[in-house]
Amino acid sequence: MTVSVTGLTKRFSDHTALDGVGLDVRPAEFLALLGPSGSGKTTLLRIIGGLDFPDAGTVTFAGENVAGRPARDRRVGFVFQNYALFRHMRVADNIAFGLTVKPRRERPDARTIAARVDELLALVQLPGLGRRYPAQLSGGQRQRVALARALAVDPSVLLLDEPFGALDAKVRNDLRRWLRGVHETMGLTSIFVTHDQDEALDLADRVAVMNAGRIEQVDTPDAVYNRPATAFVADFIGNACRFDARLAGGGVDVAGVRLSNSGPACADGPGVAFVRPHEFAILPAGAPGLAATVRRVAHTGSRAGVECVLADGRIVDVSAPLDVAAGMGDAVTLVPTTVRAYPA
Amino acid sequence: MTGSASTSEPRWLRFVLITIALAFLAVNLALPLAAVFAGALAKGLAVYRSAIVEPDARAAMRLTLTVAAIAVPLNIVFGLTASWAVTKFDFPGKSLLISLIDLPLSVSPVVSGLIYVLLFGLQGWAGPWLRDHDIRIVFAVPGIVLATTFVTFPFVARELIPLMLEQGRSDEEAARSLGASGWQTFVRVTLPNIRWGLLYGVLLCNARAMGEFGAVSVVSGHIRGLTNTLPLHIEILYNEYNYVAAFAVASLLAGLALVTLVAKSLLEWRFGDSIAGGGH
Amino acid sequence: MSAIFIKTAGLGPHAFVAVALSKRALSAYRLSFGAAALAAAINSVFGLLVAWVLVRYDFAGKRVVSALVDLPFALPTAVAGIALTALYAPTGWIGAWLPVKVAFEPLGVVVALTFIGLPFVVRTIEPVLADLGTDVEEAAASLGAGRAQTVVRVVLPAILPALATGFALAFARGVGEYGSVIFIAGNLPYRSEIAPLLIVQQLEQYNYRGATAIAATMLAASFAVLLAINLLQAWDRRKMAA
Repeated sequence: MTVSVTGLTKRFSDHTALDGVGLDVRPAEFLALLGPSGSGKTTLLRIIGGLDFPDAGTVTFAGENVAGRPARDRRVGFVFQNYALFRHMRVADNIAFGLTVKPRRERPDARTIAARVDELLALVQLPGLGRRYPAQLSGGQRQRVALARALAVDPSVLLLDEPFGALDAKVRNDLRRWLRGVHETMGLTSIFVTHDQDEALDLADRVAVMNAGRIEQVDTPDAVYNRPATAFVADFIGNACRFDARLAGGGVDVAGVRLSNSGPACADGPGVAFVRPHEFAILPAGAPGLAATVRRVAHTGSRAGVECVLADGRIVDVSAPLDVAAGMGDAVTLVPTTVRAYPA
Repeated sequence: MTGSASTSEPRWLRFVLITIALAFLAVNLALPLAAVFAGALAKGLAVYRSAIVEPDARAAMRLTLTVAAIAVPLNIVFGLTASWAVTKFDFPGKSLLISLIDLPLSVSPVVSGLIYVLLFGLQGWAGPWLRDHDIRIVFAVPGIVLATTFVTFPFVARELIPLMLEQGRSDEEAARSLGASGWQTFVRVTLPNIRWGLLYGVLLCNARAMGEFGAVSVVSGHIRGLTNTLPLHIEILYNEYNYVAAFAVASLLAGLALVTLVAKSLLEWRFGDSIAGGGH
Repeated sequence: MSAIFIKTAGLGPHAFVAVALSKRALSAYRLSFGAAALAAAINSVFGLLVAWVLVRYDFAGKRVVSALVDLPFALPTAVAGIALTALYAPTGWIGAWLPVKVAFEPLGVVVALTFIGLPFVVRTIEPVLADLGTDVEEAAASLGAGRAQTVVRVVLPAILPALATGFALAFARGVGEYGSVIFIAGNLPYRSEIAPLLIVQQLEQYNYRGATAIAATMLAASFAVLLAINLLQAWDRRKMAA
């Protein structure tokens, strides 16, 4: 099912959470809403789920406007950040909840519900744990119960708010793979909120990068990483070093070196340029470029991490081949090989 | 905290619920409070004034203040010691001690008073010895102080224990590792951390100490001008059908209650986090 | 405390039964426990409502209302007693409007104990309700539950242990309450006489053994209630605590 929002605006008493947001989510797509805290991503998710209502704008599910419809009538599956499991109910009762609150005419009988619960427990790989209470489960298990509960009502959209936020790193990675698998089996349109870019880039079909109540870019992980549309995205995604620059004649001047601009085409004038750690060449001192001193070289894994100090005192991390010819205390010149520049 | 759009009741229902709750509180709490002041001023300010400055009333006031002035500091010491022991150390019988702290809250104040009569009264265990040494406890001021101290014991400790549990031992351990003595640790680390919670407990303790009726009634002997506290004086006046005077004296205690409530609310409002763990 | 039981033990079973289980004592227990239970039940309903309104809604004067809830903790019981009596007497502000007699009747005991017990219920429920958060309610709504279903199936069960604890605390306090009750009760033997008053009367007649016997009976009952509270909380912790 297609989920579309247009012109969504939501103001809280002291700030604007969403400022004219538009977004189209394709059927069966796995979309990440990525942004720093306060960027409006959770508000957007909650409005799509019918937990909050916008001041202006539309929300459509498969072309039908649902903006005024409360959560209970939207058929969305919502997985909450801290799972929001019902602590006083057993796992099976948590999962069955959505079925047991249906109007009497539509409510399945007890046996059908029990069968559905077993099926879902199997899907989330927790068979036999139906009689436990949520407090008796680990964080990862609770997460999966929350997902099973959301899926029980056959939602048309699955919404997940920081689904891995409360888990430790190891569990988080396992669950990530598993969730992607579940998504592919179910074929549901799914939207998840995260502030963790690794998670978004690793998991999503497309990533919507949000900043200050607006969407900066919606694209595939590859495009968001390699072809950021705005200075914010270039700065936020990956680990980039920022320089003041001049845009002129389709190229960019950084620290006296003229380079071609890999960012989007833009008018001449002052700008900002971003260079990723692996996009520097380390040349001997005296070459045209950024004069720097090597402070530390760490050989970790397949690349060497070279920590350099620029003349103005700024520290630049450079990722170089393992056989890099630089040692501690060496004076070197850093030359960017790829630069993305944007108007300042 | 207010619910989001999806978890709040419709406006009319909210209005109805708030109205019912406020009406219940108005009838059950606000009206009795108003009745005290209305009763006190029923015959005008002059009568009110004379009821308060009358010698027996002033003696009762003095005794109530004296009792509170002894019982409250005692319970600050007891409360601090008990909470310190319970939260910073492990020892056998600890859970028993925690249960004992709450005991005076769940025992009828009349029974609490009775205990002191049994222990120190003429027919009590210590009675003959006390009589031989010409010491009067029951039907005298010491008995009133003892009973009040017992009844108000839980208030300080109950406020402090959850607070100190929440704060843990790490601050104290850090201070000890830096070479502070036990006393220095207590005065310079523990006490500043709990001062608002302590004040909160003291407020409640004081209100109860000045207003205790059942326990004090049993041990006091009701000797006018000598062993009558303010609440007992109210009872005597009331039973003599001297309603205006009874309400006049009651209005003093009601005023104390109001001051306590205001101070308590201010504390909760200003230092909500550092007196958390509350609840009664 | 043990003095009470030792003294009672010295009484002998016959004398104990004669005093502690006399007809007059039994009707006093019945009134003390019955009125305390009824008042605690009334407070469970209204206390829940008050706690809900205080936690969930914003309205003018909320801080004042919240402070007022603690009035019964701060107001001396004797003051409360005479104020309630004045209000509910046949000529009082409230008594004049009521079709039934309240003051100087068993009903008056219920009124006094309702006054005394309210903050126990409100202050026990409030933190649990605040802690519950709205996300479980949102979860219920997104799963298709109506507001009433959410409240009945999600909110109420979650605060039920706190409600039961509040009930028990209010009940325990009500059983032992003396100061606020004796003014409004009328204190007629067999009709509106509470158990603590019986103890005081025995004492006034210097019948220490009789007083002690009744006190022991009440203490035993109070311990039973305390035990019930602790078991309830332990059960709740075992089931739901992380």
